[in-house]
Amino acid sequence: MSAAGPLPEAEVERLAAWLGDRLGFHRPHIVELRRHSEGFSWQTYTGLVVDDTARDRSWGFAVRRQPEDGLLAPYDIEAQFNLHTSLTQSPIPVPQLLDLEKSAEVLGMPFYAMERVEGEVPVQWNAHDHSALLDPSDRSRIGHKFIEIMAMIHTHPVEQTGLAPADGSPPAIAAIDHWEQFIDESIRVDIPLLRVAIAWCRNHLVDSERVTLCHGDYRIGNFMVADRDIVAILDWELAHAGDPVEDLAWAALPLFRGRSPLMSHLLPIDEALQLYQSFSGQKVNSEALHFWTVLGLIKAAAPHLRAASAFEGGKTNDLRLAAMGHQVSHILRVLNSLI
Amino acid sequence: MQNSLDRLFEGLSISLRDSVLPALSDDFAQAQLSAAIEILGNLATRVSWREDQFEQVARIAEQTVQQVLISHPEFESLLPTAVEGAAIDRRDSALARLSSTVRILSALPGEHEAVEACRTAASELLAVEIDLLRTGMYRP
Repeated sequence: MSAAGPLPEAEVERLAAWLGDRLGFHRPHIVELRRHSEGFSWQTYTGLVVDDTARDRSWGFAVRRQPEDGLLAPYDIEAQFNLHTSLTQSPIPVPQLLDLEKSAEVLGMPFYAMERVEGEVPVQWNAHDHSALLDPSDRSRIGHKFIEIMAMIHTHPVEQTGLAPADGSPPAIAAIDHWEQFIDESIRVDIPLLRVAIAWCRNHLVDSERVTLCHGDYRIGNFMVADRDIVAILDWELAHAGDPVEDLAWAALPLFRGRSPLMSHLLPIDEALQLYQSFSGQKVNSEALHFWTVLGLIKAAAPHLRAASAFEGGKTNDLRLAAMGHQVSHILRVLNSLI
Repeated sequence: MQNSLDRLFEGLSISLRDSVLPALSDDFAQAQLSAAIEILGNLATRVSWREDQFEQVARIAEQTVQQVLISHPEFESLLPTAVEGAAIDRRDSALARLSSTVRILSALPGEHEAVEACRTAASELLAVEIDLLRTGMYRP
């Protein structure tokens, strides 16, 4: 890797040529290249591609590269691209797409490129660095938009996304099976409380009788704000056809409240639920919300276990992944209080 | 704690040496970090996990399994074999056996009392872990 940048020089040159081909730039080169290190799964790079033959021609881009072995493997980049394509034709704010590269010839792994959206991504644990969320009126305004977009996602035609709906069984069962298998494949030292929680879920199944597009990771940290408004919903890798209450419960998890009582550090939970009902026309059942909160915590714990496992296997020396192996106990503590 | 002590020491040393040290520009900070890496290497050859804590965890888990086995001796053949030997192996074995017991019980109707015993043990095991935890992440 080049000491000067986040990608090897040869990859930067190949990426510039790839972008130039699609944009009609004659002598493209990349500036402002930056790797975004917030996540542990898809690798995101942003930059500006400039045409040296016409200096006024430039295009801000973002590239999502499939990880070689991320925490949420396996990955299907074509499914991600198809979903994103479907969303660009909806009122849901997502970046406009450029193209998909399925081969590993350019960046060593498949990737897709989209426009770079200008703004900031507020996070729950470092709100002081993100002025957009310091003002209560901003939080409320953005919170309203956050819920409105969630309701839009849940009315987006799931059949247009390429995501297969559940095979007739309630989404709750499919979700329990998925995350239990994920944990089985990841865990090194078994955690009986997780098994008790999974058993609790199997004995408290809910079915809101709606199968919709679910974002799967809808929360603070996964949307971009500019001019006191949400301009992009990010990180769709956990999107699936499921029970929409899953997204509501996930957004309200204590993990994402930033030491506040607010859903995703934005809105009081009761207010958020009422707003959701008014935007979606769907009443939220409190039993369903409780169920999906418990299952959400199981789902939140699962990548922590895979992170520790990846570190143990020597795939990475990223110490954040090792730390996740004991941080999971904080999630379990909340889980223990709910079952 | 999910990771082995050997691997934690190894990963700590590699990450500090290869990722953090080159990024430091201050001479004193570099010297401090170099010393810390050396200390880590010397700790790695001298320390091991606390066996008393492993014994406590193994005891809580296995006692609960044995309690369930009194009324369901047929479960024994379905559980992972109880391991003798090093404390860490006995801990891992006992946790796996309790977890399997929960799975088996959850598929059976009318086992509320046994399930509750497992739940109590699982909470107790979490309390042991929380007591050892030193981090502010996700604190309410």
